[in-house]
Amino acid sequence: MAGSMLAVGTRKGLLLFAQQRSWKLVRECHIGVPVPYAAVDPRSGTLWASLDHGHWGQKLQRSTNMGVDWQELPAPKYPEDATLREDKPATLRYLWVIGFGGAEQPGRIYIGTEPGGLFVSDDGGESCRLVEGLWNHPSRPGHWMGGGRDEAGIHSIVVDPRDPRHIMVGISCAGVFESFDDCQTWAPRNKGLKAAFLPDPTVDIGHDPHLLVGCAGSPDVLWQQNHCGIFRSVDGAKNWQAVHEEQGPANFGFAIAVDDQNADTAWVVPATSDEVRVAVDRALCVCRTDDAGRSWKTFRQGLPQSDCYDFAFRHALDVGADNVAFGTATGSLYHSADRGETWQCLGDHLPPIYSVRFAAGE
Amino acid sequence: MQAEGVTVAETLLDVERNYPGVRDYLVDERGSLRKHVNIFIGEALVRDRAALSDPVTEDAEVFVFQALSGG
Repeated sequence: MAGSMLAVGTRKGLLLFAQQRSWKLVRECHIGVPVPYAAVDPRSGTLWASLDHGHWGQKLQRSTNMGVDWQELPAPKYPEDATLREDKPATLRYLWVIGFGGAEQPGRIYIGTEPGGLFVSDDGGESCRLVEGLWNHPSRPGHWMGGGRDEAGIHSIVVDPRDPRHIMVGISCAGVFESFDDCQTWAPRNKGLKAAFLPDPTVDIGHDPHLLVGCAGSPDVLWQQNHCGIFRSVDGAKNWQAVHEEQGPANFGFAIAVDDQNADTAWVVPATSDEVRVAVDRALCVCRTDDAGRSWKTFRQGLPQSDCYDFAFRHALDVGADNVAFGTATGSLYHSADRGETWQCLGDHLPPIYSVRFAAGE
Repeated sequence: MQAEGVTVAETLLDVERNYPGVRDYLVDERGSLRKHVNIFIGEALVRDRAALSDPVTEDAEVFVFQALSGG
């Protein structure tokens, strides 16, 4: 049943919440270890987690029994000849996101990393390889840069449900890149975006899509919460249109979610601005559009409305049918059963929350 | 544990043979010591963090510690 569990990646471990009579914390995993991202593979039910050990490096873990037992897999390794700018060796710094291939590719796993490498596995994570076609894109040495991390990083992976060979990724900072040939060749898809932090805000490459998401029911519709607003595409990312509010709260933020079937409905968790990353007017809200971004509704019921400094990191918002959940940088977790209109706090003394993902229950 | 090697790097490779995967916890894919890991030979902190070429004499004791860091 969609929405019956929540995998919550935090600075101090992975927390699993389950919906019984009410939502409860039912399991803690990797306690004490930062978990940048955790999600359940909908094809197999396997729970995946990336670990950011302060001492021991980046680790990839999976569990086939919802976190009771874990298996560590070899973490991605940059090839010996992989370099950053000026021949500086490229080494793995962060496992930012884990993505899953199409239904007909049961072993296909994607891992987005800093410093800018996309890794792919076809054996369920037992081994993985750097996607050379993207890593060797001629734009990388001169036009990719850090955004959110010291070096460029891949945080978004969108696989086309009609054709799993068709993939888009979001890179901060570079922008959206697309492949039609199973990761062999890539092209930027950033027309219409704005990069106010660059000398030329309309450059092809150098954008900061905080998160890229696609609508499963209408795969040509994509949304992104960008550093410079909210953008939507209806033609498979060939062109982007700004859909944020100029005056209202739905503008700056990191997280965005789109309805699985209705491509006109999306949610964001606004923050004040790129310079001031706290709740707008110190009052937490969630904004939803039901008309493709032409208008936004702001919902506050159940959320703190004074002295609040919360905002949501990019992977910390998820939607499953009528259920919406998000976690905040200051360790609060919220759930809504009515599509974001009213909220219940599931915990307000949690560690800083990096990712929130719904999963089917045990 | 007992391990063989004339440098710290070689010693870690020998440890890896008996405990597959442990080396990845200590060094990155270039063989450089991770930022927040310290290795001592006796009481001496290793000097070459990039390649771990510090010599290890027979009967030397090599210690691996988590550095003090984080929050």
